[in-house]
Amino acid sequence: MVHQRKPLGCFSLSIRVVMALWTFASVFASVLYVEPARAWSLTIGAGSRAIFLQVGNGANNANLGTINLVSVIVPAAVVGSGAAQVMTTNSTQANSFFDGFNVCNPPAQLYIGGYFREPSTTAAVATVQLNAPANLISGTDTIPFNSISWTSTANGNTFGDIPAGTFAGGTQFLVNIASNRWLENCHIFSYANSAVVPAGTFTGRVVYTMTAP
Amino acid sequence: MQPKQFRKQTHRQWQWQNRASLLGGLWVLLIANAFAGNTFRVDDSASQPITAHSQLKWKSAAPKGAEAYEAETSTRVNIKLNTQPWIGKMGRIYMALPPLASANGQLRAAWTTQGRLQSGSLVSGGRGLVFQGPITAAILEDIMNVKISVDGRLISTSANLQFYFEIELYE
Repeated sequence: MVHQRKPLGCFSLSIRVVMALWTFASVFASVLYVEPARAWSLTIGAGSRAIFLQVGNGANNANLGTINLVSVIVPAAVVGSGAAQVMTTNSTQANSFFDGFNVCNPPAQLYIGGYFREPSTTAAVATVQLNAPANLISGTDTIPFNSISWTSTANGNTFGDIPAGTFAGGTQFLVNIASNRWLENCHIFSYANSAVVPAGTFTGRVVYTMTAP
Repeated sequence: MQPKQFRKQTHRQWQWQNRASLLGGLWVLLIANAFAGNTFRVDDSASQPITAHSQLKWKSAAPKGAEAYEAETSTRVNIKLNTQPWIGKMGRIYMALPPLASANGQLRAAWTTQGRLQSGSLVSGGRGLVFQGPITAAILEDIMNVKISVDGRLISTSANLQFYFEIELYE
C-alpha cells in the first residue's frame, strides 16, 4: 500500500510546483499586460421602417393629395347589353419611381405600387387592401360596385404581381408586399354593363391602404 | 480501505489542479503571444466622439437598385492617441473594429482626417492604417470624419461599435 501511494504523492507534488509557477506567471503577466482604455465607440441605431403606396399619380417617397378618377361613358345604345365597357383614367403616371421605367400606359392604365422598408433580415410582409362601397350612387339610383373589375399588367412584366380582381363592396385583400421589396403593376378597369340603369353619373370612391405589422 | 479513499481524493485533486494548471498555462501563452509580436494596443482614452449615438439612414429611401439595402451614417471624432511608450520608434498605427456581433455581413468605415493621421477605410473584423513612420510625440491627434455604411437589414435595433487602435513596431 505504501509503495502504491508514494509515486502518486510524488507526482501530485510535482504538478503543484508547476501549477504554482504557472499561477505566478499568470498573475505576473496580468499585472504587466493591462489593455489600454478605449474611448472611441459609437452606437448606431437601425434605419427607419417605412411603407409607401402609390395608386395613380404619386410623388416619390412623399404624400400627394391627388385622387385619380376612373370612368366610362356608356353609349345609350349599349346600356345593359352585357358588352363590358373598358374604363379610362385621368392618371398621367407612366413611369415608375423605382427606376424611371415606363411601366404603365395612361390613361388606360392606373399605376399601383409600393414598398415596405424594414431593418431586418427576417421575412415580413406589408398588406395592401382596398375598401369599396357596396354601390356606385347617382341620387337614389345605384350600380353594384361588383360590376367593376380590373386586370393587371405592366410594360416588361405582364404577370399580375398585384393581381386582377372584382370589387366586392367592403374591404378586400389585394396583395402582400415582402419587406425591402418594391412591387408594382398597372390596373385596367372594366364595367360589366350587365344591367339597365337610369341615366346619371354614378360615383363611388375606392380607398387603398397598406399596413405593416 | 483508508489508502483507497486517499488515492481517490488525491486523483480528484490532481484532476482539478491539472485543469487549473492548463488554464493558467493557456493564459500565459496568450499573454506571451501578445508580447511576442510587435503589436500593441494604443491608449485612446482621451479620444472624444462628437456624438455617442448615430442613426442609420437608408441610402435610398426605397429599396431599389444596387444600393437597395445600403444604410449609412457619419460622425466626427477627436482622436487622441497616447504614443508616449513608443517615442523614438518606427510604427504603423491601425484603427480596428471587431466583427459585427450578430450579423453575417460586414460593416464598412471610411474616414478622412486633417492630415496628421491618414485617411482610410476598414471593414468590421479588420483594420485600416492611420499612421506610418517615426513616433516623435507623446500624443498623436487629429479630427476624423467617419462614414459608416452597412446592409441596413443587419442592424435591426442598434449596434455598439468599439473601435480601437493598435501599433505595429518595425525597423
